[in-house]
Amino acid sequence: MSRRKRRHRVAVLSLLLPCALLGLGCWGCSGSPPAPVPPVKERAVARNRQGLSAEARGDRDGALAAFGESLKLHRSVEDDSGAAVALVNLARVHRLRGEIPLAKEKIDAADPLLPPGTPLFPEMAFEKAMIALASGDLPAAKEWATRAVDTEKGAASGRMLNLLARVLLLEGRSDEAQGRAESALAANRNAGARGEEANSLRLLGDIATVRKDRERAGELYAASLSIDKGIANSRKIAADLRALGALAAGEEDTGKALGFYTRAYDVSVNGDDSLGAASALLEMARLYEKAGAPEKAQSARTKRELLLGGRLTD
Amino acid sequence: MKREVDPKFRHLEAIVGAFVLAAFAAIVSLVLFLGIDNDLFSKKYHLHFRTDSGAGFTRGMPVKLSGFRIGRIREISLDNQAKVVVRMRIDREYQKWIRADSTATLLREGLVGDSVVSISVGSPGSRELPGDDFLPFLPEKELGKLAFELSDSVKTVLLEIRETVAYINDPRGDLQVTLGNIRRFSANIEGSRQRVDTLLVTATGTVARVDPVMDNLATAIDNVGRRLPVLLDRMEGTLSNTERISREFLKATEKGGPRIPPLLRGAEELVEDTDTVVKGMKTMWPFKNHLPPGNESGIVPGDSHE
Repeated sequence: MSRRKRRHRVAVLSLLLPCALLGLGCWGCSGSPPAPVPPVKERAVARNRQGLSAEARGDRDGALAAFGESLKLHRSVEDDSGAAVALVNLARVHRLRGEIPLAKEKIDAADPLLPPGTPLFPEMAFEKAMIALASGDLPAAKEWATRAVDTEKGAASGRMLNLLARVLLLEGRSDEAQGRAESALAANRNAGARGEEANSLRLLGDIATVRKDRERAGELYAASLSIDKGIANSRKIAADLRALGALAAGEEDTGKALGFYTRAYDVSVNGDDSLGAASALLEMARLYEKAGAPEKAQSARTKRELLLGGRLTD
Repeated sequence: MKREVDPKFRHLEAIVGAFVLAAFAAIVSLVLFLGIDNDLFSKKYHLHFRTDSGAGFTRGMPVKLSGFRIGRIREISLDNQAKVVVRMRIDREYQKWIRADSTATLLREGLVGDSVVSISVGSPGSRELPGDDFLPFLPEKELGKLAFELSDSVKTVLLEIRETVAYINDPRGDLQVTLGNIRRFSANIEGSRQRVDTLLVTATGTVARVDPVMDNLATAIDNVGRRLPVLLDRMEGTLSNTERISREFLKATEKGGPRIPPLLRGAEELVEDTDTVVKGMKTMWPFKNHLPPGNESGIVPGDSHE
């Protein structure tokens, strides 16, 4: 390119650049403000936001109080969609606290407010399935998980498929579960849902274990563990380690299994998950017994009892 | 005939054309921007309010509803009774929110922010205010005044606490003197106890030595008998002082108590305003592009493996 042409190009660019910047500035700064939201609704949404923050930091009492207040405010202006959001949140927090009857009461109250086709229906169906699963009602769990899968078309479809695959595996239908779990894995990878991707891998690992394909199961659990470590989810890391421990125990490799269970116990204790830690200790006690170390087995059992009694502090 | 052209001017027409086009685009963008910023492209209507003083109001001052600018002050004038009439030009699209029970207030945005006229949202049962109607104006306490009131209340309480602590710590005060006396009294009792112990030990061996020990005991008891009334007097004095302090504290609480709720209300309004401003900023360019995506569904994140 000749020097003259280059000079002309620079001149044209030096003119166009300020104009483009000016245009961008105008575009960025212009636009009318959003319509004002009525104060009651604004307060209800703010309480819901506070509930989400409380749940995220593990303050479940605070979350329940905030969601309860949000529900009251939404009901005071007959805002059904807002009330449904609050009810689904209340049901989810009650379930996570192990209060299944209360969770069921809340989700049953949300059901009539959310007919199929509404944006929140898949989330409500998912929660219904989770509550049914927690109550041991596999047919209901399957029905609602299927409805959640059929209605969710967005980024959460992988999560719904994971749940359905989990229910199918519990019913002993590992072939169907495998198909659903593979679809879930693809959907979660596509949506960038790392936590659910790890859930799919763990589920496929469980299916491989059921089919006695231990090598494949080990690879899948290791892949799940790698993702869970990446997203720093303590409970899931412990679950992966326990799965690897069970796999090693199935292969009669007691030393390796004890190594995984000890790591799982350590992760759970430091992550304040006493149930996870107690589960690891029980398996450790069984393995010590098998290995001919009854004192260590007894020590693990005592530690477990203290932990479940809430008396273990170290 | 061959025409010679200076190579410097070979693309002169194209360059001039591009320059003119760019300048035209810039002018159009500027006009559009200024028009949007001054609300020239939306339908307007006018509302008024009366106030005793025009201090703090300026032409062009923003008029806000729920923290959003909905118009500006168009004109400030005096009426026949020498009252100030403020005329506001407001976007027609917000007319539905301004009703017969809406009020106008002069507010300052933050401690050092600009003043704005804030209109409250009317209740759904009231009628919509038509154009050129009058709104009631409520004078608002300034933040500075609120801060001074808060400072005064806190100062009073702090002074009273300082006086109380100084009184307790005073080495010549009744409380400290009484404590000293109690300490000495305890030491005497200990001495007496030791003497009684000695007496009991020696009593079995030497009955003859009982008398002097009894004398010592009598002296000790006498000592206690002499000091106890004084001590009790001082204790009474201390109790009456404590009662006086409690009365003064109660008085201070009664005086300061009623001021606390309005102060808290003011603080709460300030926090809500700040929240509105921050929320507004979050939706603005360029902040909105740099904030992490929030939980838009409002649902606690679910997990299929919980």
